[in-house]
Amino acid sequence: MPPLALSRSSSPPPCPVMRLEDICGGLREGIDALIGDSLTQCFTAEPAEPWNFLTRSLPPGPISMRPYFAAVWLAGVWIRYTVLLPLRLATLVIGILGFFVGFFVISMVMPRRSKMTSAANKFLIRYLASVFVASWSGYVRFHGQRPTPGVNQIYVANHTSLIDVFLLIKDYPFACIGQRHGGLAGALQDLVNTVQNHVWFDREEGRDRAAVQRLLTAHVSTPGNEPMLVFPEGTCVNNRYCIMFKKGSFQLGATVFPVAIKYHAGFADPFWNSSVASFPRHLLDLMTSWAVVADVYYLPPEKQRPGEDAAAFASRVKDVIAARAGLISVGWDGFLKRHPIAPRFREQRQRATLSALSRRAQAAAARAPVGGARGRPHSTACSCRKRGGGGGGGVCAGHAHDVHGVGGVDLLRCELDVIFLASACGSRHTSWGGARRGRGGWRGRLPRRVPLGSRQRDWRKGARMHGLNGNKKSNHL
Amino acid sequence: MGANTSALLADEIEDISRDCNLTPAEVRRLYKRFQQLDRNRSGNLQAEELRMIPELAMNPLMPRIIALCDNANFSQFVRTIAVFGPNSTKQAKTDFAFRVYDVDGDGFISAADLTQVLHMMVGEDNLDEATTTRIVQKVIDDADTDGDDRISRDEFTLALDLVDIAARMTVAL
Repeated sequence: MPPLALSRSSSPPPCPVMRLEDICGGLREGIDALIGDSLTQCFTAEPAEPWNFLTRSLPPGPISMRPYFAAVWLAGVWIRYTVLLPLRLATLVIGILGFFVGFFVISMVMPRRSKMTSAANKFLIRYLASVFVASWSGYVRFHGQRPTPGVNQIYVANHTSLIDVFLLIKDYPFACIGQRHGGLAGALQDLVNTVQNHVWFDREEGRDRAAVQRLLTAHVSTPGNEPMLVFPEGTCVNNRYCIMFKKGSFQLGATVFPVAIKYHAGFADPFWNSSVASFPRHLLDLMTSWAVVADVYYLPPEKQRPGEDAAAFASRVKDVIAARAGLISVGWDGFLKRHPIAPRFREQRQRATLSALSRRAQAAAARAPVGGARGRPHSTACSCRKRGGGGGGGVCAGHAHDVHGVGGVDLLRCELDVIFLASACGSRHTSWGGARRGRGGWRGRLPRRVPLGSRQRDWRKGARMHGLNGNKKSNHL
Repeated sequence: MGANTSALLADEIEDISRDCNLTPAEVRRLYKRFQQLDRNRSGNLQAEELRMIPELAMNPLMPRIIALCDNANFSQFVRTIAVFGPNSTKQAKTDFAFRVYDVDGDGFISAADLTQVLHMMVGEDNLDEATTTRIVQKVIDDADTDGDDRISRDEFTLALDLVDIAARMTVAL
């Protein structure tokens, strides 16, 4: 539209126009965020719905249970605490003693650095992981190609709890990278480190991304090392969502093997919310639940495509995992779990708001003398939606929205609302809009790759079948 | 955690749901949310706790929303949110918007109030002073009917009379 562009560049830019109702969109969005935000959703454990006697603890709030169900549930509690828990503790203690005996024997009897010793150590580490998994009556089904040793491969998985590590190591002695914990978790880390090369970094060192990156690169490129297992989310998520994958493990040039882990929360809640429960407490919760049941999917390897940057690659792999595990993929950075978001996101939206206010004035000015005759005055305004703070000069590339015919002002009113609704975090506003809370609680209207309900039902059917047929083919070890 | 809070709520829940025109289920859900937001379990929402909600922290109007919710207990929190509920009146919504603009809380929207809100919305550094003054003056001139160079509650209501506030300030609870 050359005439329009000419007329605009020759006159001074008109003063932005503000209207009293301009705050409505922002307020609505702010209140919406107060009612519920998609970040907190990722880190909230919720009792499995519908509530049933397999549930570990009663949900908070008043509940009504029929006497018959109450009796059954209480019997369940009794069994879990007085039968299962002692058995499991015994398993754990005996199993760990067995590990030490084995470890002692290997280090005394076998020659150092021989192939056999290393194989024996790997067996031992898998045995230890199995002991832990057994202590929660873990039942894990593995699907897909089992990992094989090799250089330049890295396994990435979604993260729900530290127990992910046990689940996977039970199947294959991965090397792990992660933050050094204190307490029981730290002791376990030291323990596994005695028999195999793992990389634990300190919190301080963790801030230095380059250092972690160096450790990772060195490990991955060394022949003879077991493949590295990474949880690129960087924090535990409740196994209903999948948050942003940090790009570190995706810029090594290594082949990435996605691993999707899906727990079936009906029997136990596997989510470790480290700000609520300590690790021993989390283990105790699992040991007093009925069982930890999970599906682990080894997915086909992914390579970085030409022209794809690490972040895009990370997000592609994340989507693959989320789709397989039936998780909702969101764009939040796990960092935000404990830290406020950077002010630049707010500044970005302030600039977008300003440009919308300015465009409103431009549209009004253009409409009056020349633009009105052309019949499509607000096409200039329209371009900005795509360009954010660009401020004009773009050409409308065929956005179809019905306000077009009505007039520039209406369009802009609409647009302001859009700016407020659009979140800087990308994935949220496309998939969520404003509505999140359906009638059935928070889960009601969530968009999902795979309908969770149906998956759970499917799975339950599978479990029954398993119980009847004793189909253990898919369960290695 | 669950047991004592539900006991506390049992008495309040009915009052609040009646006062705010919400269903008891909605009030319970909001209570759960309130507990999530109240990280230090003080029973009140502090500004730092609210700033931890990224979607709110990204909102240009965040300082005003936080100011209106600062140190709110559960009942105040629900009352604020109920304004945006589908059962709330247009007048209640308009009043809320007025309180957002009335930064100094004197019952009138003055040029200073408007300037502050405008700066929040578009960023203080992105506008020069002359333009700010022009924008603000224009808004006041349009809404001010008695010529005292500020917007009273009635003038504000009148100015927003034709705007579909009910639709634009309603969220799903």
